Amino acid sequence: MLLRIDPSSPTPLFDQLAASIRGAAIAGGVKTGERLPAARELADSLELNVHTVLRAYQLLRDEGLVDLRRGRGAIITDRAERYSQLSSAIGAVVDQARTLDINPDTVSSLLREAFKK
Amino acid sequence: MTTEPRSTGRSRHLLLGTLLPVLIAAVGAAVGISWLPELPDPVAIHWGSDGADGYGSAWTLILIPLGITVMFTLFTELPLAQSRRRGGLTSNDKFLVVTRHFLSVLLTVGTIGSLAVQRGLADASDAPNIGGPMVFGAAGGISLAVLVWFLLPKAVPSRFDVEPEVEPLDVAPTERVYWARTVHVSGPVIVLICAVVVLSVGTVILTSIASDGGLPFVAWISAFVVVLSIGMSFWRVRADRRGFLVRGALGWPRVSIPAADIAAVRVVDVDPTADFGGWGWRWAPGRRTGIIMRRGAAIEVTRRDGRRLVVTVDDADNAAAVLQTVRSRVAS
Repeated sequence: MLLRIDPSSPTPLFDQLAASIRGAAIAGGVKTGERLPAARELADSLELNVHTVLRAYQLLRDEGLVDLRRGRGAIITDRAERYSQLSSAIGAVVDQARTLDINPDTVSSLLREAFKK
Repeated sequence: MTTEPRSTGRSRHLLLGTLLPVLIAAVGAAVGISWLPELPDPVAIHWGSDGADGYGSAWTLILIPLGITVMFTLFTELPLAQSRRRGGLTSNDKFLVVTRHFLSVLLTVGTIGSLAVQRGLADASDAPNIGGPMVFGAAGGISLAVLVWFLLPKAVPSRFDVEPEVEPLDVAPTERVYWARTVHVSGPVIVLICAVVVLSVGTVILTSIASDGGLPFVAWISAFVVVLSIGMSFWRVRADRRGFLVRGALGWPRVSIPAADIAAVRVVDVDPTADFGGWGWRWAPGRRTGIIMRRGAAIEVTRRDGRRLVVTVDDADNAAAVLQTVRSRVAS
């Protein structure tokens, strides 16, 4: 599992961390049933506040990617596999958007619109 | 013409390394069979401190060395096939080969010697002690193993040194990186560990039935074996700004290399038997320590003092790139 965060980016750190873990789940770097590193360990490694890591873990719990239990840590749920299944379709959308020269913001608002139907 | 040294090396390996140990055991068995009319029936097949204490058919002693030698030779030939395709045997491979000669001579001289002392005896319980043949067999086995070592083609070096260093990750200077992974032994080795666990538990149960004195000792030894097997089979590997950390499932063994102590990072391809002589926590020439859980890609971290740590991990490329990034940051 490769995680990267950039403090100089305008995106909040907890959001970056959650996105990075999500990315690892999609790429297969972290698998269903695997335990994420303890919040304190990850905070130490990435020079973050423990609360930032916990906030990222809570965000992932709210979307169902991790199961957060006291004493057991953060466990990746079977949703990780669903993310991987979606990733090829997303890849196709991104490729198509690039060839048609449509920017990412437009693509995401189009996606959001499509969900309303 | 360039292939000639390799093919002579191969035929020398076949004759000296594979056929010779089997031939020694076969000759021993033939000699044993020729003595059958002069041997008592049953013969002594086991000795305690007070002389012979176990009896059986002479065929047991005749066939055991041959059977074990043939099995061991076949079994050890399998992992060598890959090495030979590479152009030669490493020193670990050669060690495996000469172990056959040691085993063959030890068993053949030991068992045939213990038959020799029983020739012409009417009753096997008069059999004298067999310390002599066993010592002679061990000494002869070591001598032949050393001789064959020098007769076999020179060992080829492990291929590690030729791998180029990996490139660091393509990251912004402000970016922070973290990489972690669990590694564990693969299918067949898990079966082996389960066998060890079952054997240990079985021994405890049998001992508790058979005696009441030895139980605590055996139980402790078994618990130790079980814990050690599990602890050595699952590892957590981590690369971050602080450096490289490999930790057994139980927190021990634990190897930590601080970022400032890393001199080079490579991704290497590990052949467990050729490069490390097997699986698990291993030492190899070139001041290498290996945590070898499977065949294939591994990260190799060289310390400033030249010692190297090799760990087989999935996604070794990313692990190495993260460490290289961290190393270049510390160095600058």
